[in-house]
Amino acid sequence: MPFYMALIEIKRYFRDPGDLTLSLALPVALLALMLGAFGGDSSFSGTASIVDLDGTPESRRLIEIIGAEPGIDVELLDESRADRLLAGSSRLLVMVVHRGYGEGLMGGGGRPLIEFRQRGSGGDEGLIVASIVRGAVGKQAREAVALSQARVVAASNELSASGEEIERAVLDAVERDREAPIVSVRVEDAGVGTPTFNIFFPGILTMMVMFAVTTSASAIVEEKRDGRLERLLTTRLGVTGIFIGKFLSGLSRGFLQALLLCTLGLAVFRSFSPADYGQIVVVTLFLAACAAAVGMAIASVARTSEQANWAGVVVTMVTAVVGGSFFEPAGGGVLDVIGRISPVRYGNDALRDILSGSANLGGLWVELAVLAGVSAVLLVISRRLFSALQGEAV
Amino acid sequence: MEENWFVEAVDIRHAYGDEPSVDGVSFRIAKGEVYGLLGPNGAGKTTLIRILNTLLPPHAGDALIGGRSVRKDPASVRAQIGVCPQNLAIYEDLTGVENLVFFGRMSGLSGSAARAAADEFLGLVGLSERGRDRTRSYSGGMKRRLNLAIALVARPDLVLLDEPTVGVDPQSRNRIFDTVEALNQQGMTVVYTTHYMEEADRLCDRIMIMDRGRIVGEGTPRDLKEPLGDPAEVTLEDVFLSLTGRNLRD
Ligand SMILES: Nc1ncnc2c1ncn2[C@@H]1O[C@H](COP(=O)(O)OP(=O)(O)O)[C@@H](O)[C@H]1O
Ligand SMILES: [Mg+2]
Repeated sequence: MPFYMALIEIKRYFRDPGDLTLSLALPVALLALMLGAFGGDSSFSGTASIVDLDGTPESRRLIEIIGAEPGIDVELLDESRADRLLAGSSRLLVMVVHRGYGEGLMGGGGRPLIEFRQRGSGGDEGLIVASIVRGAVGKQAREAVALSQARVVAASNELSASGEEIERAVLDAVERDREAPIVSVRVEDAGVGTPTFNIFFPGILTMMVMFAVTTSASAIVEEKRDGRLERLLTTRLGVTGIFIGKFLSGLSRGFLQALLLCTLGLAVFRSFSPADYGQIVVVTLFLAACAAAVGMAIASVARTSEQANWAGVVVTMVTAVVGGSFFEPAGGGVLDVIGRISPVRYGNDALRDILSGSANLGGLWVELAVLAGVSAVLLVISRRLFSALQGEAV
Repeated sequence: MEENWFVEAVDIRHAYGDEPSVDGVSFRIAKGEVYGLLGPNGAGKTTLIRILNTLLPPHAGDALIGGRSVRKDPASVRAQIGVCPQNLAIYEDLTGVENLVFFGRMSGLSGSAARAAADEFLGLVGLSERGRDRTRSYSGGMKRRLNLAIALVARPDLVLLDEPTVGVDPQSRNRIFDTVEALNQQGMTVVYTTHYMEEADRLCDRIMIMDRGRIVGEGTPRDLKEPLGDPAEVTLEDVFLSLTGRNLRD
C-alpha cells in the first residue's frame, strides 16, 4: 500500500504543471548556467590581427584564406595602430605581411615576408592563431608553386593546351581542394574540458536532491490541511503506512530531479563516463533517501505547511553550506569537522571521489552506510515523534 | 437481536481541555441498522465519530466494533470501517475514478477489485459520466457524492457518515439517501450524523439525540415522537427542540 501511495503521489506531481516545470526547469537552468560559465563552445575561436603592408592580390588572398579558417576572425590594422596596441598589451600578437609578399610568392623567395610581432609567447590565443596562420601561408605557397610549375610547362609549348587553359585547370584544382580537401582533419568533440565541472557539479546535484526535504516535510501537513489525513488514518494504511508512503514519494521526487540533472550532465558535458553515471545515480539515491527522511522528521513536528516549508528550506541551505556544496572545506578546518554532521557532506565527498576517478562504489561504502544509517534512524525517530506530538490533534 | 450487536459503546468520555465533548455515552447498534446521530452544533457528534473510527482514543470507556476494541485493537477496527468525514477529503488533482481506486486500495482492495468497485460506486452516486475528470472541476454536490462513495468503495461492514449532506442541493441529497439505503439493503451497518431532522426520519431505524456531550434521547423515530402526541403529526424537529431546548447554538 505505501508503494501505491508513493506511485499516486508521483502521478500527482507530474500533473501539477507549476510544480513540475519548477522542479524540472531548475536542473535545466542550473546546467545551462554551468554551460555558460564553463564554455559550452568547445571549438577554438580567436582573432588574427593583421597588418597588410603589401596590398597585392596575393596578400589579400592570404588574408582571405586565414579568415576562412574555422574559428578565426580577421582584424586589419595599420602598422602604427598595431604597434600601439602591442605596446599597450591589448594585442599580444600581430602578423605583418611585408611589402614584396605577392612578388615573392611568384618567385624569388628567401626573404622573410611574414613577420609575427608578439609580446612573450603571444599568449594562448596568439600561439594558436600563429599556427593557423602558418598553415594558411603554407597553403598559399603550395598553390603558388603549383601555378608556377604549370606556367613553366605551358611556356615550353610541349602541350597543346593554351597557357590560360592550364592556369584555369590548376586554379580549379586548388579551388576543389579547398572545398573538399584530399586530406581533411576531423575534430571529435569529447566534452567540455574543465576541472571546474567536477567541483561544482556534485554541489548542484546534492542541492537538487535536498529539495526532497521540503517536499516530504510538507507532504503530511498538506494532507492534513486538505482534510485527507483523517481519512488516510482510518484506512488500513495506518500512520506507519502513511509515513513510508510519503517517505518513498519524497525520495522518488528528489531522485527523479537528480536523475534528470545527471542525465543532462552526461549528455551535455560528457565529463564522466556512463559507468561513473551509474555510480553517481546510486549515491544520489542514497542521498535522496536521507533527504526524504530529514523531511519526514520535519513533517512530524511541523503544524502548518508554512512551518514545514520554512524548516525545509532552512535545513536544505544549512546542510548544503556546511556540507560543502558551494565550496570544499579545507581539510582539518573547523568547517570540515562541523560538515561531518551534514548528510550532504557524505554525498558531496562520494560524488567528488567518483568524478575525480579516485574511488568507486566499493570504496565509498562508508559514505553510503552513513547515508543509509541516518535515513533509517531519522525515519524511526520521526515516526515516534509524529505519534507523540500529533496523535491527538490529527 | 441482542446477540447481534455490531457496535457496543460503553461510557465513552472525551474532553478537549477541561470542557467535556463526549460525557459518558453508551449505546449499541445492531448489524444492518441505520443508526442516526442527531444533535445541535457542538453536541459532540463528530468527536464521537472520531472515537469510533480510531482517530481519537477515548479518555474513558471503550467501544467494540465487530468485537474489536477501538482502544486496544484500532487496526482491526479500521479494517472493518469506512469513513466519510464531515469535511471533504478527496484529491482534487486526481479524477473521480483515481480517488476511488486509491482509497479502495488503501482499504485493502486489490488493483482489479478496486477498479471494478470504483466503476460500480461511481455509478451508484451518479458520477459515471464525470469519472474521468479531475475532481477540481466538480460541483459541491458532486464532491460530496464522491466523498461518500470513497467511504463505501471497499464495502466495509460499518460506515461512519459525518454530515454527508451538508451544503448540497436536493438532487445530490436524494442521491446520497438512495445510495445509503441501497448499501444498507446489502447488509451494511450505518452510523449517520446529521442535524437535518427529516433526513434522520426517513433513513434511520433508530436515533440517538445528543446535546452537550450527553444522550438526551434514544429510540426509533416513532418511540421518540410518541410522548409528544400522535406520531403521525409530531415531527422529529418537535422532539429535537423539546429535548435540546430552543437556545441558539454555535
Ligand atoms: N479540535 C478541537 N479542539 C478543541 N475543542 C474542540 C475540538 N473539536 C471540537 N471541539 C469542541 O468539542 C465540542 C464537540 O464538538 P463536535 O464533536 O465537533 O460537535 P458536533 O460535531 O456535534 O458539532 C464542541 O464544544 C467543540 O467546540
Ligand atoms: Mg460535527
